[in-house]
Amino acid sequence: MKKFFSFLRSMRFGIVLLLLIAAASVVGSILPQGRPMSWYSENYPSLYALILNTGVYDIYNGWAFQLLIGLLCLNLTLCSLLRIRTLSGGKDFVARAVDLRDETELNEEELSRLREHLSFLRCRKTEFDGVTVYHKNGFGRWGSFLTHLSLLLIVLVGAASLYLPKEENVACLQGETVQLDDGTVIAVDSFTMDMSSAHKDYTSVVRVTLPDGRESGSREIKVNHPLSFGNLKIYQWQWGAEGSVVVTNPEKQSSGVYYLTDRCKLTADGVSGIEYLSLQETEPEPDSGESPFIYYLVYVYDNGVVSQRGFLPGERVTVGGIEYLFRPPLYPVLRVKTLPAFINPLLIAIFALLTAALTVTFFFQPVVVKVDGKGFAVGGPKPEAMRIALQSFRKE
Amino acid sequence: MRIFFFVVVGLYTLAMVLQFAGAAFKKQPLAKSAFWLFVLAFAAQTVFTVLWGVRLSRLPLSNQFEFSNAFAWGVALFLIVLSLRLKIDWLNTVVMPMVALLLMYAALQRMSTDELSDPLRSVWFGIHIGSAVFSYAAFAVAGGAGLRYVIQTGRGADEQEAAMMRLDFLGYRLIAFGFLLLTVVILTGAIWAEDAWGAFWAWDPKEVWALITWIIYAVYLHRRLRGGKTGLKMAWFAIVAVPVVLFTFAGVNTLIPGLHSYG
Repeated sequence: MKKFFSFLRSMRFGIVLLLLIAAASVVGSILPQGRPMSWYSENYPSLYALILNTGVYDIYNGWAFQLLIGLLCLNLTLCSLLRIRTLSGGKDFVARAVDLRDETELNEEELSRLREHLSFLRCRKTEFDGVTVYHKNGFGRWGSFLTHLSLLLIVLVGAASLYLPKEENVACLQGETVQLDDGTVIAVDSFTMDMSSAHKDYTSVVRVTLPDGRESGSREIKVNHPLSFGNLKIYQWQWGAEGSVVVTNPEKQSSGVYYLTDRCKLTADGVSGIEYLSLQETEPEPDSGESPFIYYLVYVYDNGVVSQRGFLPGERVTVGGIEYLFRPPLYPVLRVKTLPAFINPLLIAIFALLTAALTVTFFFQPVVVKVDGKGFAVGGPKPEAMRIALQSFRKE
Repeated sequence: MRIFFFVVVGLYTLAMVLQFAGAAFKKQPLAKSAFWLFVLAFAAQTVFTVLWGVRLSRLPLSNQFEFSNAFAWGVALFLIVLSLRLKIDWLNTVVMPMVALLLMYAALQRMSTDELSDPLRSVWFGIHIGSAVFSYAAFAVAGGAGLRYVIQTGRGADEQEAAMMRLDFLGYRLIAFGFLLLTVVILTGAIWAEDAWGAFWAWDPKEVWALITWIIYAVYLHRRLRGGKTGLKMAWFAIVAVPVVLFTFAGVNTLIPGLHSYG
């Protein structure tokens, strides 16, 4: 049993797992993932059976890949536990240096220069019987443990952030509201596209009311600037265009909204009115500095006279005593993600921990140098850097 | 600006040729001239990059041309710093061609003046892509150090010699630095992806290949730090890992479209 656990926490096993994950990832990056099976039979007819049987069309969600990740977590857990045990021998780390062998012999003058150099390298000094132990980066012993621990936490918390959230895409016209299943209400006050640059900028202004009554107030959502409120995170996802017109009959003091999805005619008396044709986008000359814009293309029927006209959002026309107000057609599609609020900040904190831990592991390795009356010896988990730093004192 | 760029490419190429000549004929003055011409080319490239960025009103890192230029600049910077700080010239012959080849690749790309697209307008833009530049550059130079090590071993150098140990250690340190920065690339990319695309990780090909590169170098570092492996085998490892970096840099964008396909 001991051998089995020893194997599970071994570096060799960890390396094998990492390489298998890398190999699976190569396949997953080359073969498009998550397509309908008919797509694979059309595009890879000779490999279709293999793709179907091995499940490589959805490799990252397949049981084999999940098993590899699970075993990697087990490997990281076990080797982290092992490292905790070795960390407990901290105080002995310096004292054990007294027993270092393989000394380089130096004369008095060289020893004096060595001591100065070690002080210059900011090593701390601890005296034992006739022996001085110079040491630095004692905290570096924690580097490897924290690195592996943070990798483990990234996998676990990262998996939670991938698989726990509930996500849905919500389309909502400007000036309207939409209610989610949990009772959250999202009101879209406006949606604009800044089309003045080569690439469009999309901005939604929304108000969110949570089921518990908390209100976000008026907030902007743009690409790269989602709205975080409560357990919600709302992203600017896509946009759409759908025509709509507010029809007002002043005589009857009534009005209503009509959604213009297909070509249609709106008329109160069958003679005068408008016939919606389509939404159009202008194409300004390149380098003209003009922005493209969307407008309604309609036929206007006015006392037997038909004319084709374009109307910008916000414009109105009165025909046969009926007023037609053309509403902004653009609407945002927002992606709403529901996730416990602490998960994202926790993951970012773990990222920071991993970065710090790697820095310590690579660049702050603990090292000891034993100096006695005869010479010096270098020790520590990875004394290579110090050995090279003291190379001038080593006799070839 | 295009002409300025090709002047830079020409200067680097000339420096490379001089270096080859200096190494082949063992003429130290030629090799020294090559180095200082290389420094001049680097200065010219720096000016070009700054002017290009000023023209675009942003960091010039958003497409293949700009990234290739930055990658080459990073490799050149590493070479110059190592040469001046450590007073070594071992790497010049192997690293100078890398810079020239990267810029020749850049020359084949479109010098786009398009504004940044929406997903790229983020505070993470400079940190994420800047880290990638220096990470890839460190790996490339480490590969150069590995190549030098292999060449020297082939010429009969003893792996226990001080110079060989320093070369080996330099390769390790470069990979450690590159690995740290690659971790920063992946982590900042994840944070940025969450803001832009709603998920820390989307198994996008670029993300996946960055992870594959990270895994390859993690194996190197484990073999070195835990396994105590040094010397020729690790030098070969550093060389063989470079094509993975190059595929992540250029191959993915060219051959596998995904969320990172920005031109």
